[in-house]
Amino acid sequence: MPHGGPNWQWGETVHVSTSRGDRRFDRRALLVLPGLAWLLAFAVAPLMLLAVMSFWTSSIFGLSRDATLDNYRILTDDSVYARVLLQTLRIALTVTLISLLVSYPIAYFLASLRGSRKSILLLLLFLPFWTSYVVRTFVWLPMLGRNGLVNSVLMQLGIVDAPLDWLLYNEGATHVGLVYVYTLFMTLPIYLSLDRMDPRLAEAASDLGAGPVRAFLRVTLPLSLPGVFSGCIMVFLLACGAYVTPQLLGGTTGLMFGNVIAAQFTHTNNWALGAALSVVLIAVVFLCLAVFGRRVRLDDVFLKG
Amino acid sequence: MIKRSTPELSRRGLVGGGAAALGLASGLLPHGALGQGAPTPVDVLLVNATVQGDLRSTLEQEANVRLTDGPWQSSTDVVSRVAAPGGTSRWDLVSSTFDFSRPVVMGARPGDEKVRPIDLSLIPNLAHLTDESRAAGIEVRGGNTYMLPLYWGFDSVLYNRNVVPENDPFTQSWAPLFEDKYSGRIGWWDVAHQMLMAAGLYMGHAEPEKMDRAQLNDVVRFLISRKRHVRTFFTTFAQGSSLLASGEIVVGYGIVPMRVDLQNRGFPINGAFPKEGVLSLVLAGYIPKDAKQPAAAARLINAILGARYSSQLTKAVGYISASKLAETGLTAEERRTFGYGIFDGSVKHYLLKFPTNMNMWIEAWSRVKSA
Repeated sequence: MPHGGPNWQWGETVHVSTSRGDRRFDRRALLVLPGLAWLLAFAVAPLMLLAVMSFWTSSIFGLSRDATLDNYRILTDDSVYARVLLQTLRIALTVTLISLLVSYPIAYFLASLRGSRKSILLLLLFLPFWTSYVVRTFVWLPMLGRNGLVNSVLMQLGIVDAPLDWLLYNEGATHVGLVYVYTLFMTLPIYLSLDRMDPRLAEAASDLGAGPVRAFLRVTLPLSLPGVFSGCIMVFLLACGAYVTPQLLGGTTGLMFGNVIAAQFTHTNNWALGAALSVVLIAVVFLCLAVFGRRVRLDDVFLKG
Repeated sequence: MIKRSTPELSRRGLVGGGAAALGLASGLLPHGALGQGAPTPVDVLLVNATVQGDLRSTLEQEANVRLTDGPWQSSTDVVSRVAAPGGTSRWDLVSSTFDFSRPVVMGARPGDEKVRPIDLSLIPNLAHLTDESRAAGIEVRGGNTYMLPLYWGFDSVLYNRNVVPENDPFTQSWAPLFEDKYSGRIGWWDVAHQMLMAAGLYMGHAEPEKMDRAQLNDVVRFLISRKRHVRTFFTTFAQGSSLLASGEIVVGYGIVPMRVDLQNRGFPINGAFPKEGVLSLVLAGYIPKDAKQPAAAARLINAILGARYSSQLTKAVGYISASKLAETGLTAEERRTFGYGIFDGSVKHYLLKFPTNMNMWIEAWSRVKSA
């Protein structure tokens, strides 16, 4: 019987007698159970089902449990999927880099502020994210379209005679949309890293003769790297699975792997191939993380970033 | 002192008042509604535009039902819902493209059906089906009828009248979708089946759904060579309508309800009748195996095929009724405009059939998209 009783308090170790001898059991561990159950039911189990389904057979009559490797064979036989996957990784990488370039100065500026100005600007940063992802993507259509805001202004100012078609429906527009919707995921961790930094460190560097650039490169930047890596990983992962943005803004050239996967489920009823494509994407993303993890300690990124 | 008169309820008064109320009710209520009792609640999965506003009222009155409709996204989505666990008891009446849905809902063998036999005695309007609808949209197995044609739709080229001349023979073909005349202002629907079928028809294939791998590769090469003229793909008809309405594209693949909706909203959009044929499809109605209200669902089918609803449907949404009764409520000009010529041969059409190897088509379309 546990030596807890009504006087037990959080943090107190409860001794549990078992046939194999005494074991120490911390009741705080029970707090993990709801979250664990949630993850098992809604994250692990669907992923397992997805993996199993990728070996099933899709036919005109639906999904049957006849085991096959054909879904993976299609992926290797047809270079289309490899090409789209590579394009997706390339777009995700460039989106990550652009997001970093955009977000770092914003985070740096926010971290340097104090008082109500900081609160207001942080609120403004979050404001667009109170609306849905689709709306935030869709808003680029009236901005960049033929009859959109940008073209109207350019034509009224006499800078162009006819609307610029290349502003929308191409890979560039996909980049613009993805950078916009994922900016917060990059800015926030960098801001948190910079905000926690002791400002006296930069002052000390200055006192020791370092100029602003040198102090930034030798002190501020290295200390903010966990936030940078954290943001980069988040944006890269999200961009790899992007679906709505390339669909709405990408036109005929901004296709990404998420669109190919979605088509299997929504248009062609080939769930088994869709599952196989999803498993491949997950595996490739994990591989990218593993390669990244060899260079950077992921513990630092996720636990200290 | 005021003397208060209290009404007396005599038997004669009661009978007289009841008769008067009955007479009033019979004038207000639709024919046949009296004596049917309270409306039966029916869950349907029908194209949402076909059960909105006046169309919904008509159906509810004529079939004495109270409709609850689920979100209808596409035939693929509908069939997936019916085939999913619990899907055969969720809905009382479902509609989707006949040719695409039949294999899935009927199953490979007798006994595999996900649908139940329909009680035809509850559908007297079946007598008014057009010959083409009888030929293309009825599924019978073991002497039982499982699927019935409700209405027809067709896909063609939608265009902006302000930019694209209507009487140009070039317009009345699939050419505007694939040639460079409107380069940069063309929208393709991001669906393998229909796009490859349309391209196949345009390239002169008599039965595009039977194209072999080599022929399909030809179509793929053709589409890749024309892709540079395309402004964007669209995945939903709402997105396609938005592209046409905003002027982003002036030519696009489209369905009749898109055209009618845009016209009703005042946009200068029209639909072509391509000389190679519009791609037609029959939307069939079927009652899932474990439906709770099969009789009410059958009454609903009867109402859909009735004179009042069928002509209303065409005017509101553009679908062509499978019932001859629709024509009584439409002028000759309306019949021509909406494409009823597919029944008398004045509008060339090609029934959208399901390819034997759909996976090959999906791969082909993926190649076009990723090229």
